[in-house]
Amino acid sequence: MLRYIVKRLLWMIPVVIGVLCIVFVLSVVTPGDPVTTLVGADASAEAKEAMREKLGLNDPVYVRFANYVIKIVTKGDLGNSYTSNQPVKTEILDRFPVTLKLTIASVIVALLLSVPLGIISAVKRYSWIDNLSMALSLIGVSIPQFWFALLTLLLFAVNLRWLPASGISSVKGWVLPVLMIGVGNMGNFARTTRASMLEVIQQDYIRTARAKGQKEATVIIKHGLRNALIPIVANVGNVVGISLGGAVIAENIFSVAGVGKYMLDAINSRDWPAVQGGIILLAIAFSIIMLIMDLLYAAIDPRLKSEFRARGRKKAGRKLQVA
Amino acid sequence: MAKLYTPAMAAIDKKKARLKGKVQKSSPGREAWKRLRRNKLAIAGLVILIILVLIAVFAPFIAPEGIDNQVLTRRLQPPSSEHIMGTDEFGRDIFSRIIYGTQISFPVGLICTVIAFALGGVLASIAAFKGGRVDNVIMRFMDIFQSIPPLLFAIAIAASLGNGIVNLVLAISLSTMPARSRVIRAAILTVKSNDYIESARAIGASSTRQLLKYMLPNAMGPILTAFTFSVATAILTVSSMSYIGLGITPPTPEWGSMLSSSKALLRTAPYTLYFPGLMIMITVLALNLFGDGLRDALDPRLK
Amino acid sequence: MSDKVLEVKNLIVHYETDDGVAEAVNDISFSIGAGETVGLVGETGAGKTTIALTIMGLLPRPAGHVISGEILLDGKNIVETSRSRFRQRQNDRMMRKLRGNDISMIFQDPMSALNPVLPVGEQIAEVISLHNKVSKAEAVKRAMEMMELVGISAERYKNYPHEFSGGMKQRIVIAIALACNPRVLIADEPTTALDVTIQAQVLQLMNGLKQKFNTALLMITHDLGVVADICDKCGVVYAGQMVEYGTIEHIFNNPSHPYTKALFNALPSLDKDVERLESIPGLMSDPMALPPDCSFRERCNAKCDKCIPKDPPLFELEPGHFVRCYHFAPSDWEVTSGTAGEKEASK
Repeated sequence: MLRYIVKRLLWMIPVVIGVLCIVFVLSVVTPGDPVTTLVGADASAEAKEAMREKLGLNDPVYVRFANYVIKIVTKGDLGNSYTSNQPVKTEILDRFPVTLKLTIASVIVALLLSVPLGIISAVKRYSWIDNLSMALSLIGVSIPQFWFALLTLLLFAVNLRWLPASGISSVKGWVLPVLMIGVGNMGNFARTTRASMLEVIQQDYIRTARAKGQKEATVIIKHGLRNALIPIVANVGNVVGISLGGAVIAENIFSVAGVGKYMLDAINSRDWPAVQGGIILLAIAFSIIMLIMDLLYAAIDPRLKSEFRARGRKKAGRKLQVA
Repeated sequence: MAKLYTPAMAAIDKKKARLKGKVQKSSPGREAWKRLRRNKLAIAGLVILIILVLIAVFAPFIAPEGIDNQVLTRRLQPPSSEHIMGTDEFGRDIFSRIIYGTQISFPVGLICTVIAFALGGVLASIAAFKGGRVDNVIMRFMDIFQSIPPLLFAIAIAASLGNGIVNLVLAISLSTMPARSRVIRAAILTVKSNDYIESARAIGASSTRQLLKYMLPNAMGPILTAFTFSVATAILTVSSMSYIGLGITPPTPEWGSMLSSSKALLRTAPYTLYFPGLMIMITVLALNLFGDGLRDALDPRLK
Repeated sequence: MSDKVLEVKNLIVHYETDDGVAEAVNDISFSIGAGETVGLVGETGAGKTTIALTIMGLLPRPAGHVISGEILLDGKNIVETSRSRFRQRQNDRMMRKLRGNDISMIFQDPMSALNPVLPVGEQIAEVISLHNKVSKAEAVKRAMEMMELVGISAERYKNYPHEFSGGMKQRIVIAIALACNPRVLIADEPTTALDVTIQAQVLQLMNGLKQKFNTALLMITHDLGVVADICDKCGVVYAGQMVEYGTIEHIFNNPSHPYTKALFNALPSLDKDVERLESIPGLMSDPMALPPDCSFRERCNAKCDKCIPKDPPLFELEPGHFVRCYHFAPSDWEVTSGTAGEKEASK
């Protein structure tokens, strides 16, 4: 298991370099001159040239890339924001906890609301509650998040005045953003849980559990649920990724000062270091979350755990042979 | 106890006799189509999609006005008999723009998905058939691409390339390509490991023949299903990105971009909010219904 | 009556689906005494597993229905033919107490019969603590004893199913089935999925434990060798009907129904020198559309003018040996005299 964790951590190095590479390529192909943004369109040619030299824009591409990577890897320096002239890293790290909390809260709320619904749907298949929850789930996966946000904003903030229209300073403020980010996931989770549960219920080991004289509810919870959750846990990592994207939009609709709003503001003001920094940090955060999810996955499926163990042993054996 | 010959049994016998008379032609595709046809929801989805396509084709005849007919004297009028969905902040007829919107969202989503599947498909096929090191290298590259959440990746690409349909299509296709190639690779690998491919090999089928005659038709099922769902996702992404101003920009009547000003109008003109979103949802819903039906029809084991 | 632990009487089970009604079990009767083994032989789809699931009260819902008949456990009926929800639920509650405790079942495929995410020991202890008022530690102790009893080291209590071979898994399944010392054990093709070498071991183990606990064993199989090995009585099932029933000697020394004979002819044999094994032409009738006459008629190679277009009853060939074939109708038998032989068989 430790071997696996170490391996996964080491694998993050090429991932990060790959992400840097992608982001750098994107910044190279970007039309428009950042210098113009910085010093203003009507600045003198000398001023522009000086700025260009200062930013290292006159160097060949590969030198710029190398400098860029070295700066980030050795100093964690993502450059300064063009607009605020503050280090991008601190600006983003200040905003990052909000985004992360929003994302994770929405994934957890979605799981808590929809997994039980999926189980009930599977157990009471074709009942009215199954039909209703599947209809809602279908709408959940089909509704555009931002439109859902605007509709709930109209209903709960403008018409009913129950919830604030922006900000997450109060607990009430969290409700709409969390629901908006989670709406698609809820539909998704409920549908996956139902399908997975339906398949599990037909398995022989469920029949074995029934043959023991176990209560139906216990059969479902103890023997069914854990098996049915495997595909869902396997997918939670991806869902977190999707939710990070959703958080970017949610922060803009609900004016939440997170990384997503920071990035979109940066895009609008052509503040490339800020945009790049945001993407790099979110990608790294996403990779770490994926790692945690994979470990969790291994923990609930014993078959995988021993596979890791067996793989480690096989490798060790091969090394002995070589020696 | 002697068994009684019940009317029900007689009916079954008759049905059997009738079936025997027919020449039973059945291929997996035909069987799936039969199952799909019986699925009312899937057919409903298909019908909605066909209607949307028809609206797109005949938009000029349906829409009372053009897409950018700004009449400032009739700004922000609520729905009336004259403008059944009202007018927007530039005095444009929302209904006309909704109708023309069918020419944008669905086709753009479709194109994004086609490109993602084509690119992903080529890489996946190489990975799946070459196997070993090639497979490993390609899939690790996909891992790296996938370590950026897809919407974020699309935003990054669109932000650096600038607005416009072509850039948006590029952004969405590239950002979803790794996930799509994974689906295709998995489908090919599943089929590849099946016994009938072994038997095809055993009877000496060439590898091209193996690919065309045995693998492709069998791998098509899951790929087709994934394709349908991916178009749905792509449409949602197109509209989200246009909404935040990183995709298709006005005056093109993309439904998402039509909503970009509606947050400011929530208090004064909430009716501008309803119809564009509803259209996106209906389109995506239809695709999801059809995709569900397709999945159940192609894999009757699950249901 | 007293020596009969399990008695199945005129059992009729249907599956009702959208496509029609499948008549899976049509009038089956047999009984098992304590320590006795009864085999049910027949090809796939003959209704053997349905019989087992009916006894367990585990017919798939909502399709499976017991139309009529009785299953007596120690003389007490345990099937509910009423469709009233209330009666069904009452029966469910009763069956839950019996399952795993008085009646146990071993399923065909040990590979999938165990929950992959629970340690095997826990799965044995579960059934013990379910039916006995014991502490957790006591349940664990008894589960370990059961493991040792079926020949698996108790140290492997915490191992997961995927860490065992097929034969070992089947031993665990047997341990689960026998953990509460049931009166009746139903084994549904317990060796089919196993290697030949393992098959003998598992059969031996089951037979030994059966004798030790004096369990009534219902052995469902399509393997006549298994029947010969461990059964006292044997029934041949075809299209949901018992076509021949008798002691092991009756069936093996004097197979009488054309289907039974065909089954024996399809077996390879060492002492007979045959060019080619015989196969039975045709397929079993579709349970959705059983013929109104003898269900084996279409495939039968001994059709004669005695075969009237009506379902044959069981005829008693010799004491305790029943055959469902007009060939064996006594000369004084008339169509109207109906099901005289059947009542005999159920005794």
